[in-house]
Amino acid sequence: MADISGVADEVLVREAIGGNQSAFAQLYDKHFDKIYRYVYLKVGIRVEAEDLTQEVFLKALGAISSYKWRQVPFSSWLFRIAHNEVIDYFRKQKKKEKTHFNNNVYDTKEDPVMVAESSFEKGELMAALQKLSPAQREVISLRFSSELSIAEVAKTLGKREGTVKALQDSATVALRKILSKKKNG
Amino acid sequence: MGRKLADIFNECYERLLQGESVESCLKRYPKEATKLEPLLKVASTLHTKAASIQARPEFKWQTGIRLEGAFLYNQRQKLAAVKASISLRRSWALALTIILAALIAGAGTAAASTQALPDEPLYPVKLATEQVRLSLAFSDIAKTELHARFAENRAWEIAQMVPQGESTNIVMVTERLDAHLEQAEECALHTPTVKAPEEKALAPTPVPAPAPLVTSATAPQSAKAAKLRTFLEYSAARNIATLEQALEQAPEEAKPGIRLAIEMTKKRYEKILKRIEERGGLPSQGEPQAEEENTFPSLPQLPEGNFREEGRIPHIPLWFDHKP
Repeated sequence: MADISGVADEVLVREAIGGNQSAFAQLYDKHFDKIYRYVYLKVGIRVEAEDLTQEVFLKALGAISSYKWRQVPFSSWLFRIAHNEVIDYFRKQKKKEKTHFNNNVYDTKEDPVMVAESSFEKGELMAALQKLSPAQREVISLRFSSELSIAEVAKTLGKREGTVKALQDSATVALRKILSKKKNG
Repeated sequence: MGRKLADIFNECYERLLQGESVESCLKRYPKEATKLEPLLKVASTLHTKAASIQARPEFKWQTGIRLEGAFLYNQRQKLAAVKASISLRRSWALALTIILAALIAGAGTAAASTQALPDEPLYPVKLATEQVRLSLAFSDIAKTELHARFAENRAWEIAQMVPQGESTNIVMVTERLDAHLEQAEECALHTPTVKAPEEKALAPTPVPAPAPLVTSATAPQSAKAAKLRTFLEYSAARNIATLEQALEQAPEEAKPGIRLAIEMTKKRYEKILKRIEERGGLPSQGEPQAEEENTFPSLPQLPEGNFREEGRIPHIPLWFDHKP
């Protein structure tokens, strides 16, 4: 099997479609954390986020042969799957998205040590995101937590790059105010 | 926030992601530093906070294992599908090849066999082809005509074998010729009856007009019977002419057999034509009817030219294939 470490997504996807298992493993390693973060920020429950993340990659594996590079970058394609999985999740749960962004809805199954170490950080972030508009929240999640480029976010959300930049700026200004209030209050 | 600052902020955030510090970015844009600094700090804080969201390593590992299994399963499924597809295509290709080969070879062989004589390898193919044609003929009219045609084939074979002195085969073929005509007579017995219109007993007939022989409903059947009769008359003429030609060329020892064949053929045709007439088939126009039983009617004039030219049986289209 050829060494494909450090190569671009385009090459890895082509290799994976051709049956190179290592290529798909590389894609998985490269995008797993970003997808998990994105899903977690949406659902707020670790176990659910894990299940949904796993489902995203299984669906990506099943559909990778139909993926067309020219239309959208692989990362954007992957985040679209994740986005749809989250939508389906909330539809199935018959719960509104905002319910899950409530600080009080933290997963009771969280590891106590992990909760002690990072719940404040995560809780503060999710509470701040909750106060943004859905479009702003989506852009911030993809841009700041999942580290997608403006172009990738634009492709994922089906918006223009200028619109994404504007949403990013307005969301950052709003978050600054939110976080300043918290700090002062 | 103006568009220019939005672009600068975005560029600086990209630099932060690449590892550059906030201070370094602010030095690049001193004029916008005041507005830029709080935004970059918020973005940096958010990024740091988001980075604390990490999946459990064991979960990531388990998912990787599961994906590996799914990947291998998918590959096997694809491979199996490709193999099945290739196998199916091969089967179809093989079947098509066999069918085409059989058709081409069969059609070519059947065509080649039309000139075969009894002592030749293709003769059984010729007889088999005739049997197939008979089995595909559904009406008695069609079967009658086919038997007459095959009787002509036997007569032609006799004529071809005479110069070669194939006396044994001549006897055998003569029997086959007679068998065809016997079957033609049998089939003629079952051709549809064409009834003449019934006379009205009490109908006034002040001026008897020439009534049609058949009603409009029976006209098609009558036309078919008339055509069959015409065909059989010509067939008889061709058949007997061929046999008489063979008789002229035959050696003395073969002549009695051929004379017998001619007599038998005349009688058979006579009976067949009689059956057709009994079933309502009209005699051909201007043709005198047989006056006595067992008397062969006068034969119609044969078409001009030698229909056995170059040793080939002339192609006569099956008239029942071209219904009016």
